[in-house]
Parts: sequence; structure tokens; C-alpha cells
Amino acid sequence: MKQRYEALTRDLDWEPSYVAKSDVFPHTEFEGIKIHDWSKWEDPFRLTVDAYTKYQAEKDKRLYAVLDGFAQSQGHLTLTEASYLNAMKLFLQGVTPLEYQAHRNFAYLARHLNGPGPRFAALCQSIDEMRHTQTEIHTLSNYNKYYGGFHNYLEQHDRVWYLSVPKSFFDDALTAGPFEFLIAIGFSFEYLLTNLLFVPFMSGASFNGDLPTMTFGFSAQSDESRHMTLGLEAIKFLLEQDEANVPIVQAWIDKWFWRGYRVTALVAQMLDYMLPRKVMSWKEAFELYFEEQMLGGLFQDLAFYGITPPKHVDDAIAEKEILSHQVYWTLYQFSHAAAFTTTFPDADAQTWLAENYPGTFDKLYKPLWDKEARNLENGGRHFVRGLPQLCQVCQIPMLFTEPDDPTTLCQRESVHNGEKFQTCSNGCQWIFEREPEKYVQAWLPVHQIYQGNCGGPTVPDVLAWYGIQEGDGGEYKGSVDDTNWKSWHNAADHSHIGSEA
Amino acid sequence: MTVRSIGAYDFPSRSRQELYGDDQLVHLWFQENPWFCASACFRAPKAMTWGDFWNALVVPFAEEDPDFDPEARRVFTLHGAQFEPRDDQTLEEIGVEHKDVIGMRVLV
Amino acid sequence: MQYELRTQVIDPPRKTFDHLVRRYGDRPASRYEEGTIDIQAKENFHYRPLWDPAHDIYDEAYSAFRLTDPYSFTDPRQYYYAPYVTSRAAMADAVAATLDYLDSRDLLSRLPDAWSSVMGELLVPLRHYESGAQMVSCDIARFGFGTTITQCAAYAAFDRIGNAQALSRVGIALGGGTAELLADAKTRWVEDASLQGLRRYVEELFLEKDWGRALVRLDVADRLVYGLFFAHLDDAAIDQGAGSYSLVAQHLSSWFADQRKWVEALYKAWVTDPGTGAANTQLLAVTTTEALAAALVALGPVAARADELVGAAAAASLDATATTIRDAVAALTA
Repeated sequence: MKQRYEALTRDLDWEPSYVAKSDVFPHTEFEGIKIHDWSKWEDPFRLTVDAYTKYQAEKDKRLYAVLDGFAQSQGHLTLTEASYLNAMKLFLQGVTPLEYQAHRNFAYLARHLNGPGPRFAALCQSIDEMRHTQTEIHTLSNYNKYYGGFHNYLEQHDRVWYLSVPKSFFDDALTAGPFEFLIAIGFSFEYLLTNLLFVPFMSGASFNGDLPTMTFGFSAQSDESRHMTLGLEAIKFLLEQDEANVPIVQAWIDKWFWRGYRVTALVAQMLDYMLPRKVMSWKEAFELYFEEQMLGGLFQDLAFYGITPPKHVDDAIAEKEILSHQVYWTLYQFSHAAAFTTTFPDADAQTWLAENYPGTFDKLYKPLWDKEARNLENGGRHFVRGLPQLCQVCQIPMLFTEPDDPTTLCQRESVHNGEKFQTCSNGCQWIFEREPEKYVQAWLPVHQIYQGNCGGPTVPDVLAWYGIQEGDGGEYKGSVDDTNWKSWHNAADHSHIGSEA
Repeated sequence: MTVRSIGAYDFPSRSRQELYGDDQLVHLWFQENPWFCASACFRAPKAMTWGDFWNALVVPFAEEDPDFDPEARRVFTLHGAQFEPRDDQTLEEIGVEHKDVIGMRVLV
Repeated sequence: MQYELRTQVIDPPRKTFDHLVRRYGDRPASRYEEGTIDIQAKENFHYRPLWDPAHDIYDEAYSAFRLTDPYSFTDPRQYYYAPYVTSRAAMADAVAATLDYLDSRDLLSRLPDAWSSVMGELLVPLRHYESGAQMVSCDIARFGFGTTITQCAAYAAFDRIGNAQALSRVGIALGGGTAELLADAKTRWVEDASLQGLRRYVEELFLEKDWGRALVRLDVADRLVYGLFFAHLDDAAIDQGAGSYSLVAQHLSSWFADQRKWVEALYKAWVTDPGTGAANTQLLAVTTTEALAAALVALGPVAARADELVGAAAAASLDATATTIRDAVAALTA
């Protein structure tokens, strides 16, 4: 099997002699990584094209059958609640475009890495990522027909303030060299953080009656396990090739752990606040998928190569009981400028939060919701009347607090070419100061709005430029989705619908 | 530290002051008040007086907090030091620079 | 669309996504359209590439070929991932059936010696040509402008690896189940005089930075290679009693017909673009003409060697294909 695979795939390469090899592969030296023997790359999949296409075609046949059946049977009415779809709106707006970015840049690796083994693995991943882009769009397309917030996700990914968080994250990786991209996406995103990023969405789907998304999730699993294997193979390969690669790779792990971890802030609030039927708390997910599996497992293995856990990992651990609350409190007061809705956590939700966060919720966040409850009684609804300060690196509003003090916002400032740049954390400041030339280019939504580049000076101007329509954002209760949901459910007994699914 | 790149890699900041003409960005940090999840970011003329900054920008923003009391005594900080703004001073005279963070705390 | 819900009908408030409504009007969109149109990010890129600070992440300046609207081109096959892999799974089944048949009847060892040499010396080494074509296609998949184009290129890149693997299998079958002939073919690709022109052509193509020009240069060589090996020699093989060559050739020939559908459609979009058509036409004519001259030099020795082996008028067939290409260029600029 291995020999046949090698004969079919790997031995296709040859040493160019009519042109210089360094001209054929011009991007694999500037990062300082040294590769002595590309043939040492072990391809763990040994997939051939015929086996791949047959297996994938079979999977897609099953997936699209589920999508069609769900659409035909009005399956959307069997969700736990329309508000569940806020999680999927975030997914389509924030994650699906990243799958596409991955598709393009794995094609770049499939061209620009010197070794045929990694090039073929990258090509497989490239077209897998196209699969994920499209199956996600096709899965969520049916919801778009009935619910707000989905309809302009592509333009919004390029424009909207909270979506600049995932977009800038991936742009950062796309603009890095091929080896850094491998560590940033292949390893950090697809291995280190993948369970934290994807499993909560897919489990949320299965807990909330979203059969299509759950099926998509299962269907992507075997692709993802290949991608995880590629990520792990990549890092081991770089570490084994030359001792001098170790500190470079370590710095990339330090950077990309923190960069990716900050993106998961959106997942944290989704798990704890957006799902009508909860799966697990962010804290539990973080402990299981990150602390146990990665720190307890992966990094024990990597220690052999001299790799240590990511630089600012303690700051991440320290905020696991406060992160989701801070982020949701922020989205709650900014959702009038978003393409998803938020709402006040009701008594049941607050009980769940208090039980799952015994050390923090009642003490730090319940008082805020109590104050908001009074505000609501008096006819208010907390929406901020202006724009927040953003972190120069992760681009999230500067809502995070000092590692040892959950009541004081964390403010870090660096000066580059005489200009001040603020960051939200030790991790983001460290990233900024490592490559300030990169981060000064950040297209920060708040600054761009103030420069007049986002449709105009007023909030309605900006929302129009975002393509946000009535009912896309703001408060869930009384929203278009809420109203439709109730009228669709009141008007008909639909208990038979979707029951066979 | 600096980036490793192929060829010169030097781009102007996309948030530099000159992009705002005679204005600048000013951050206001509502210390010890978690109602506002993050510091506010305003665009304000350098020559704007503190009084105008307070009345035209800060108050309409801060009023969203039902407990906001414009008359409360406050401590302001800039560049790590406390300052007492006078209404007729311009932001520039106070020493506020582009993208500075002004700390603001209500005295109990 | 309307749905019966025992007592009520739900009219979906929306038919599809905004970008598709803007482009095609308020009508339901196909899965190809939803999965392809406008997917590539358009604006507000945060950083410039460290490996090419002069360009944006997606930048139409990566090629001199331009479309006023990159989505004026769509894949005539309407391939998104699912129909693409489904079509390729069927192709792979067909190839496997052929190889099984050849194997079960021991047909490859019963080939006339000269045709056995054509396969071993010339056909099997083309797996390296396919591998080079894969790299070039990957470059187009990354640097091309607009998802309709890059999606075709990405699938084409995957196809090229598939072709290389199919040729490898032929090599293994021809080598009596061993990889010996593949090693031999690689040596030929690197050393045989008859193949050096083609190898040089591919290596020089690796340095082409303009993805549009790379696409044209690869296509010109493809037309000559596929015309020679999978049309002309296919016929000659049948005439000369080497039917098993033809059994193999049919699969590559039908793949190439499929490949050329999108390439031709892209050419058409380039030259008919209301804004950039004139410039594209000039570029396409010049690039094709230059590429054709180089490709003829590259493939002349290949045809000559085929003629030495089987006397099939391969050189004349190359000229005939070249004439077809020249006529197409002349028609462009007429």
C-alpha cells in the first residue's frame, strides 16, 4: 500500500535543471526555516485521487439528501427556537469565509512547498476546504430563506466590525510565509483549537434540532481528522529538520495560539448565551478540548522537541470563567449594529450560568443583568450610543480585563513611529511588538467609520453600508424572526413535520 | 523586532492622525463602571474645548447608563497622571494626543 | 416556492443571498451559484503579503488578463465540489475497469513491441508533465482573480494529479505489476533527449508569475500533448493493432475534452469583455503565438521519437494541431 502510494504520488517530482530550483520555489527561504530533506515528510493519509473522489462523492450524496429532505419537510420549524440560529448566523458570517480563505492558501502551499508529499497533502486539504465552504453555504442557505441575518454574509465579512476579528486573523495567516501558514492554520487552527472552534457549533446544532448542520459536522469529521494529522505532521517535520527551526516554530505557536484563542471568544459567548438548549459551558469545553487534550496531551509530546506550551496560555486559563460573560455583555449592547440578535438571559439561563460559573457569575455579572432588568422595566434596552476602542491586533472591542483583576479593563499601549497603538492583552501586545509593520496596516472598523469610509457618519449610514436590514440585529424579543417563528407555530399544528428525521 | 519579508515591507498606519485632518481619536475609559463594556472611541477636533467634548460627546454617550450623574465628582487621568480639566481648555492644551486613553473614575 | 403545512402556507421571505439577488435578480439561485459567485473576499484586506508586499491578498494585478467583472465567466460544467467529485469518481471507476480488463486479458504484454515502447518511453513519463501541470494549476487557484476561475483551476490541479496517478498505474501494469517502469520513466523524463524540450517547457512555466499567461501557456502545450498522444496516436494505435493503447487513451482524451470546456469559456469571457476585451484579445494572441512556438520546439522531438517507433506521422499531426491553434488566433484578431 505504502509503496504503491509512493509510486503513484511521491515519485512524481524531479530536480529542475533548466531553471534554478530557488526560482521555482522562491518563498521557502525568507522565513528562516531550514529543510534538508523534503522526502522525510511522512504523508499519513496515503490517499490516491480515485479513492478520495469515491469516498467524498459518497459522503456528499448523503449530506445533500439530508439537506433536501430537511428543506422539503419545513424542518426549520423543529429547531428549539429561532434564536438558536444566531449561532449559525455567526458561523456563516464568521467561519465559512475562512474555510474559503483556507482553500485558496492551501492551493498556495500545493504550489510553493518544495516537497511533492506536502504539496499533495495541501492540495487535498485545499479542495476539502472548498467542500466545507460550499457545504456550509448550502446547509445554511435554507435558513436564509426564512430568517434574518444570513442574507449578506459575504459583504459583511469584509465590512462589519465584529467580523473583522476572524477576517484579520485569517488575513494575517494568508500574508505570512508558507511555513508560518502551516503552523498558523495547519497546526494551531486545525489542530490546537479546532475542537474548541468547531465542536461547540456542531454539538449546539445537534442539541437544538439543527439536523443539517449536525450532518454537515459529521460529514466534515473525516476531512478534519486528515487536516489535524497534516497539521501535526507539519510541525514535527519542521522540528525534526533542523534545530534552528525550533525557536522560530515556538514563536509561531506563541503567536497563533493567542491569535486563534482570541477568535474563540465568539464561540465562548455562543455556547453560554446563544444556544436555547445548552451543550456544555465554555469553561468545560476549554478544560476538555484545550487544557486536557492539548496541554495535557499534545504539548507533552512536543516537549520532546523542546517545544513549550504557548507563551500566554496562563492568561487564557485565568479568564476561562469570565470570558464568555464579558463577550456576551459586549455583544448584547452592540447587537443593534450586528447581523444577529441578542436578548436578556432569562431566569433559567441565569440559573444555568450561576451553576456553571459558581465563582464568577453571581458575583460579577448578575449585578449587571439585574441593573439591565431594572432598565428594561423602565422601558430601556442597553444599546451603546457610540463606538468602542478596538484592539489593534485581535480587533475585538477592548473588553478584556487584567489577568489578575476581573474588574479592571486591560489596556496595553505600544508606540511605533511615534504613533500609539493599544492592545487588549499581554498576548496581543506581544504579537504587535513582534511585527509592528504588519499590524499598523490593520483595517480597524471603528477607525474606518470615523474616517468616513463606511457609508457615512451616522449609525444608519453604516448599517446600510453593512447591508443590515430591519430584523437582522438588535433585540431578539419582538424581532422579525421571533414574530415569524411564533406566527408559524401558532398558525398550524406542525407536530408531524420533521418527525421522521 | 521586525518582520521577515521578501523585499521592503513598510506601510503607513491605517489609523494615523493625518487621516483625520484637524481631528484626532480620543478614548474614554469608564473606570470602575462595567456598564460600558469597553472604553469609548470618539473623533474630536484637537481644538475642541473640554466643555464641548464633555457636553457634545461624552454626556450623550454616558447617559445611556441609567445611573449616570453628570454632576458627580470625577478623577481624570492621562498618560498615567491625574489632571483636572477646565471647560475652556482645548484637548490639545490638556495634552491629549491622537488615540490617547483618558481615564475617568467617579469619586464615591 | 410554497410549502403546504396542513392549514398554512409559508412563503419564504427570501429566495437567496443578497449578492446573488443583486447580480441575477430576485430568483432562486443554483447550488453552483451560491457556492461560487462572489465568494472571494473583495475589500478591506488587512495586511500585505510578506512574500509579495507589492500586491494585495487577492489582486487583479497578478495577471495582465482582466475581466471587468470576474464573474462574467462561469464554469459551463457548473462544477462545485459535490458534482465535481461525483464526476471524477465515475471517471476513476472507468479507468479502473479498463486497467482491470487489460490486466485480466494480459493485454499490455500482448502489445506490439513498438507500441509498448511508445507507452514506456513517452506516455508513462508524461506523469511528470501532469505533475508539473498540477503545480501551475495550483498557482492559478491561488492567484487567479475570482472564485469561478480559481475553482476550475483547483479542480484541474487535482485532476492533473489524478491523471499522473492513472499514467502511473499504466506504468505499473506495463511493468508487470512493479514500479520499475516508473523509475525508468523518471530517468527518461530527466535524461532522454526526446523529452528534454518538454521538461524545459514545464520548468520555464514554473517561473511564469502572471497566472493568466501561465494558463494560456499550459493550455497550448496541453493541446499539443493531448492532440498527439490521446487523439492522433490513439487512432494510429487502432490502425496498427495496438487497441489497448486506445483503451487507455480514451480516458485522458475525455478528461481533456472536459478540461477545455472551462478554458475555452474563459478565453471567450476574456475576449468579449466590453471593457477589457480588446486588450485581452491582443494578449491572448501574443501569448498563444509565443507559447505555440516554444511548445512546438518542445514537442517536435517527442513526435519524432514516436515516428521512429511506430511511423505514425506524429510530426505532421503536431503541425496540424498547430495550424488549428494559429487559425484560432487569426480569427481572434481578424
